Amino acid sequence: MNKYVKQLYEGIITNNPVLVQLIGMCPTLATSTSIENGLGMGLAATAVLTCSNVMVSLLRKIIPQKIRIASYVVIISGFVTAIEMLMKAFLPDLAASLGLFIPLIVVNCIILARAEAYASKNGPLESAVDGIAMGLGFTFALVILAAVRELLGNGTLYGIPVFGKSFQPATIMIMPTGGFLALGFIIAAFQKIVKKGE
Amino acid sequence: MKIKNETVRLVVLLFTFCAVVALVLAGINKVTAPIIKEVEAQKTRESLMKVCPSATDFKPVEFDMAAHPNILEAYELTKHGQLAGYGVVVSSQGFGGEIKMMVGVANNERVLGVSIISLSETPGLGTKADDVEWLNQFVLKTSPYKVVKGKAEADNEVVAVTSATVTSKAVTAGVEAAIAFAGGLE
Repeated sequence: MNKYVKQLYEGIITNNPVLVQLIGMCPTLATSTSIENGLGMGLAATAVLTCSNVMVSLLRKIIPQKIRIASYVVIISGFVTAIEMLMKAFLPDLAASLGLFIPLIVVNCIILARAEAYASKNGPLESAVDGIAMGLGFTFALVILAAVRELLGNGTLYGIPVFGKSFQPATIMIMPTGGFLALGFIIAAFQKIVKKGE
Repeated sequence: MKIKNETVRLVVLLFTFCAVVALVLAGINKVTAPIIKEVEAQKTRESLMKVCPSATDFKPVEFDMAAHPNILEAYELTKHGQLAGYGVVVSSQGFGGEIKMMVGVANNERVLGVSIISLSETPGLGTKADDVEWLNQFVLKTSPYKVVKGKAEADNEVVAVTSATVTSKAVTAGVEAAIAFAGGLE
């Protein structure tokens, strides 16, 4: 059991995909304009990542080395398409606000990176935990970034206004520029905190 | 089954993966497609009710798509069997891309209501056009509209959203297109 707790800790904190490994930047910057979008994107990616990790792990002995990337992409895009259809049917509002970014989960490099670096070498249970850990790490980073951007750029947190009417939101924060700025500061702060804890 | 030729083996394996994935997706699609259709019909109904709350029923209107490239959908709105007006889904080119809106037009070509379906304008500036109070100007004023900055004086003047004149003009153009289209239907 301890092993899995360690895996979770690594995925969320010490080896966080966004804040430490710096992968998956495109969806991170694009969907972190509000906490709702960030959370939705994070959880959708976590679901795809966990499923694809388990599938890749189960098939690791069958998939030949030469066509492994092509096979991973087929598996990942299968799950993404399934999730897109399910979201459109059961969570239409979230599907509408994430729009194009759901199909783009296919090219989220975190998912391909975990398939290649972890799931293809480990058993299904460990791979599932790895998927959940990395997915939650991605979600965690997205939510922090989105909270900062939504608060400064729109004056709200999860859609609820926190400042009075006189607050003038800094629109730049919810535009791409603000995304890069906020991400830089958050990574710096996160590194400082993690280093201190060691 | 042992396949000797490596290339053939790879092709067969990859083909099998794709075929299995496609089959599974076909299954999921069979389940979700009717639900997605229902959800979309519900959305259409809701946005029609927003622009024309008094309508009790609606049915799609067929029209020449090629002659009206910016009209996406049109509905005939009826109130207890009597024609109440039209609901027209228009697309207009805004500052950041396409703006899709639903415009309710009465028989007498007055605007009954406008609601934005989707837009990709500058957050915080152009997105302010998606505001009930701002959109209500089209109901209170009369066509042909004129977009002005600051204060409206004549009763066809629509006050632009602050720092979003392009967006305001795009929405106005969309509303005008819907009125012209609905006028041509009768």
